[in-house]
Amino acid sequence: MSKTVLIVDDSTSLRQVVSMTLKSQGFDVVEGCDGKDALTKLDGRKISLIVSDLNMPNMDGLTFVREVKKMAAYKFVPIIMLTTESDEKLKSEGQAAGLKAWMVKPFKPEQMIAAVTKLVA
Amino acid sequence: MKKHNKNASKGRDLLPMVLIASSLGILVLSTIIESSVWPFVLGAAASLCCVLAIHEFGKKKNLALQAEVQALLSSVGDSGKTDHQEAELLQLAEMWVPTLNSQLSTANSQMELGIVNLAEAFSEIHSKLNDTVSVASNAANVLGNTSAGNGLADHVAQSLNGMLSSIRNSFDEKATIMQEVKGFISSTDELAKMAASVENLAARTNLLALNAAIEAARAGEDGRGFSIVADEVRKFSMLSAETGMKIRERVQLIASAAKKAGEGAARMETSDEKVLSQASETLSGVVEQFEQVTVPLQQASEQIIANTNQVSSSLNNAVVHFQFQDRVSQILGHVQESLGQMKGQLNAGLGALNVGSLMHELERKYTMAEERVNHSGKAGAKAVAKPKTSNDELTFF
Repeated sequence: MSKTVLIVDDSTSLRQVVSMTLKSQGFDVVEGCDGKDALTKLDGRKISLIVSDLNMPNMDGLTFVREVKKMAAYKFVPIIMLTTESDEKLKSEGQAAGLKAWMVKPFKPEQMIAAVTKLVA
Repeated sequence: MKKHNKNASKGRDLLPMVLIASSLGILVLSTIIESSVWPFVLGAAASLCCVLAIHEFGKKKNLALQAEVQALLSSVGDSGKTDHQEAELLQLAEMWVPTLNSQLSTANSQMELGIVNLAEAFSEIHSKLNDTVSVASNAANVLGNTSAGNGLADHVAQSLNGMLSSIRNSFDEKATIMQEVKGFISSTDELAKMAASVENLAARTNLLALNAAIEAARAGEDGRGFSIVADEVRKFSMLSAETGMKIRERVQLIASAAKKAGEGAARMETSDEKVLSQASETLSGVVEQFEQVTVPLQQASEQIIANTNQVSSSLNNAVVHFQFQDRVSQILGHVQESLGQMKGQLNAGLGALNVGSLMHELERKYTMAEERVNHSGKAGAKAVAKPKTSNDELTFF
């Protein structure tokens, strides 16, 4: 049974690119257009990993991560922050919020696959 | 020019005063010099000086009024200019900024839509390529690995050889049975001989019984009993002779049939060998022809898989380059927000315009190094999207 990855980004094209990369490796994907929308996708379904953007409308990535960590069913799901930001202070905030990895856009497919495979193993 | 006017104005201010002072002096002189024509002349001169003084005062007043009017006119002109600038700024805020924002928004959304459609199309192509790889892989697996020698042709050859082997085994079994039949044929010869012996023994017993009957008749009354026994023996010997003869006939029939069967088996043995040899040759030919078809097919399948994987990988990388849209979209978004902020400031009047605040807010929203480089303005900095070092790209916590 294939594993499901939740992709959260306000850019449709970016979600498509991540989705395509992961689908080519046999993952199923669920998409959310911002943090608030993504929380509605955490409705009991099994999620193996979350890939989230940082700067989004309605609810930003860090707030979303903190909300996920409050949910008993999903608090142990590994989360990768995928963002154009590479600021060390923000990375530290992400780490404190419970992130497992920080990936700077634009990402390389093999890098994304390696990170996802490592974290869902 | 203004300095010159100021000096001229001073000169104009002094002249009436001098004229008044002169007229007063003349009046004083006329008082001193009494009873002559001079007082009249001097009085006239004093009057002229006063007239001139009054004229100069009027002239000065006129010039002052003119200057005031000029100043007022100038003031009125400046006031008109300020109003015009404010109107322009209002138009900038109400028309130019929203127009730029709309254009940016349209460009951004069109770019996003285009990229989404492109990504979808590429995704579809990628998916179909994966399907093709899957189909080609299945075909290659069915056709087998030619280099490893376990292809479909080998399977077919093995199956046919197995079938040939079964037929050969069957023929071998038949040959064994034929050997048994030959053994049986030789046994029938012995049986025929034995039947002949039985006949011979019966004939001799019959002759012996006949002699015994003759001897019993010669013995007379005493040989009567023996004569009866001799007759019975003779009857049995005759029966034995008949049975022996029947056995011999039956055995001959069986031997004849067995011989025919043996001859047929021998002919079949020769035929079977020939059939097996031909079948083996045909099988080799079929397998060879089959290989001529399957090997190129299998090689083509492997080539298709390799090429498709390469195309798929290239496609995957190409699609990933679409990420530029996300970066461009963010930059455009920040520009739009800043324009909106400027519009808000301009709406509150020229005095509310605060470039420092605009720059600060703009900087606060940056998410990319390129934006910060552009913002710094160092040496006419114009950042391009540079490839990042590998250390920056992925951090595990």
